[in-house]
Amino acid sequence: MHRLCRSAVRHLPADAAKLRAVMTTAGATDLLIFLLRLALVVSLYLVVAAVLLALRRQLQQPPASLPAQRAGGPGASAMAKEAMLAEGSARLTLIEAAPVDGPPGRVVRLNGSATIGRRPACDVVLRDDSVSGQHARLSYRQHAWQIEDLGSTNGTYVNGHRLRRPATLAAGDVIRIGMAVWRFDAAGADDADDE
Amino acid sequence: MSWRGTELGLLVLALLPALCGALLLAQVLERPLTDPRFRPLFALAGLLLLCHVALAALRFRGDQVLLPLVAALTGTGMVLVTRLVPALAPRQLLWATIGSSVMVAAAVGPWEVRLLERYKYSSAAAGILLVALTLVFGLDPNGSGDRLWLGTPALAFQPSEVLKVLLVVFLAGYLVDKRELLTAAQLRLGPVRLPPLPYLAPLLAMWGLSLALLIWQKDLGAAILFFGIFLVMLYVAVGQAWYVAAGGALFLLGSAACYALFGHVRLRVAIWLNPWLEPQGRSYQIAQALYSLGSGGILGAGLGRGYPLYVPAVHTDFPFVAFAEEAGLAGALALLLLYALLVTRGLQLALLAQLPFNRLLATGLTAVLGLQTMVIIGGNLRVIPLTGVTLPFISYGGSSLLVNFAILGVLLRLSHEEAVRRLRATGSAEGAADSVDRRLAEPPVGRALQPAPGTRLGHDRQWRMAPLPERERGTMGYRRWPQGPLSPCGRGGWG
Repeated sequence: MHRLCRSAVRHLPADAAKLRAVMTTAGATDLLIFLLRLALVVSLYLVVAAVLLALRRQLQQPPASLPAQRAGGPGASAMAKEAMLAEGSARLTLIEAAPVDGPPGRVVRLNGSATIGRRPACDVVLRDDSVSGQHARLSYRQHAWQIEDLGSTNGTYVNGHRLRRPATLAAGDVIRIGMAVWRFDAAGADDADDE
Repeated sequence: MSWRGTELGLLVLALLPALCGALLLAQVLERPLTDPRFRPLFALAGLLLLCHVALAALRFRGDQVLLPLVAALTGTGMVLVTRLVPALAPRQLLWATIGSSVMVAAAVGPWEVRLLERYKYSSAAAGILLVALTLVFGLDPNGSGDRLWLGTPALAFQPSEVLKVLLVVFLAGYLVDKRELLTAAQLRLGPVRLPPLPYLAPLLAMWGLSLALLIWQKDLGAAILFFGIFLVMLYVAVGQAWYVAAGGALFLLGSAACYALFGHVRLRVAIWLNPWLEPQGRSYQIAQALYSLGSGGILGAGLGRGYPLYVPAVHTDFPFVAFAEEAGLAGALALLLLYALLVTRGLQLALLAQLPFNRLLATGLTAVLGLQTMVIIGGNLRVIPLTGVTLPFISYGGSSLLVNFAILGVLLRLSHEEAVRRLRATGSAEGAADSVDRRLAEPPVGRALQPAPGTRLGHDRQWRMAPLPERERGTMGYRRWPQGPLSPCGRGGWG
């Protein structure tokens, strides 16, 4: 209020009518100034919020190109094929990997269960940093291979869909963990050269 | 031409505070917007938009968040300078122009960040030489009593700013080279393991030399900064917390020694502990700053309506306090959040980098920005004694602005290289534009892992490594990997 008086006093005209007019314009200017002050602070917070949203969006986005994405979630494709693989007869083939995990093409034979993650205690150890310590587990339960996400930071994606609860895998499913992409299918006769 | 929609949207949003500031100042000072004092501000906005266009036109594929963040900060800084010392705004614009050109050149130029690794020793030598030059040719254009500048009184440049970056380059290169050796247990002093001294010695020597120079130059803020950067990078490279503890102890020892030896250190500490003993005398600056800070309130006194000019050298040393007085607690917190986001993004870029050198370099550069902000704001708020470092992007100061833009350019280049690598790895059709980008698509230099025949992943540890490259032959076969954030996971598996 004192600022209002200060600016008004500066231009104090002689008579009351003019004084009233000056006080009104002074009031309008002060209102404008107050709104602009508010706008300055609010716009700074808008920038903060927008940047946070942009960062969050970038973290959640899966990478641009993924090979062989199928329509429907992992459960749907499992029911569509009678692809219940027997225990010990499944394998993972590395299709793509982060540069630290080396060139693709590796094959992992699955024996009952396998954990995938960065910790050395995991069965399949990846060095990519976007992979959590214990990222996912594949296990053979109830005559089917299942995959579950072990609370990883960046999520496990099967056929392009993020895994929210354990799901059954069918032959040909594409699993993405961090920057590594694996194909899950049956261990066939060409496994001879693995041994 | 690459479409950088996120960056454009964020940039337009980021220039809003500057626009609001200009409108507000115009109202308060009762001048039209076409007044010459607002021209540097609008020119800066145009300059930053031009940077975005340049990046998009030159097919830059890196991070889209850093430029808008810096634009918001630089815009706020320009608003502050226009309000506090309008005569200096054109110089701020000049340095911003030079800085942003350097940034764009660094971001899209035909070079690779890992080239810096080759020049680590030259960088260290150049930095030390530059600071040593100020001992002989130093200028004091501001009359502050310390001869920390080089150049002419018209165009002065502070070498300690460049030394910061050169030190980070040296440390990144050296630590990446020697990190296995630094974590190898050689000596034991009770519970503490020391790395082999021949490898620790050059590190300590380089760092000790810089510290000594800076303390001699009475540039204590830079000395604290260097100490902090050194500790951060050391910890990130080797991952052993006792280094930080030892560093902290060393810092306390060093501070005590400086306190005992130097009068100006004692003065600074006395002023910090109790500025009210001589509020009209030697602690005038910090006392006025505290008054200014206290009269801000939540929304501030309003731009142009507070009295920040009572604080001496407010545009260089206390811009945060000036902003806090005029935009209040709300504005000051928003500024802090912007800096926090800058540091966050820098560290994210470090995590996304694949090459250890790039990773360490990004961490170090982010640490420079973050620690500098912490030291100056801490000094402004009387949390720590006041030092002479500048608030990045907001303080009036040519060399500071230039070097910080250069840091940003290197971070952008890092993110561009990573993005190109990722695009090539996923076989995207967009591919790489020039020969440098194509080279980036190759896997990083290092040891190739080949599985021994007849092994299964993870179960049998029968990996055979390819022979060590030439430069690592003298490592006596150390195979232990450090456990720090740079380490590949564990000592088994594919490590």
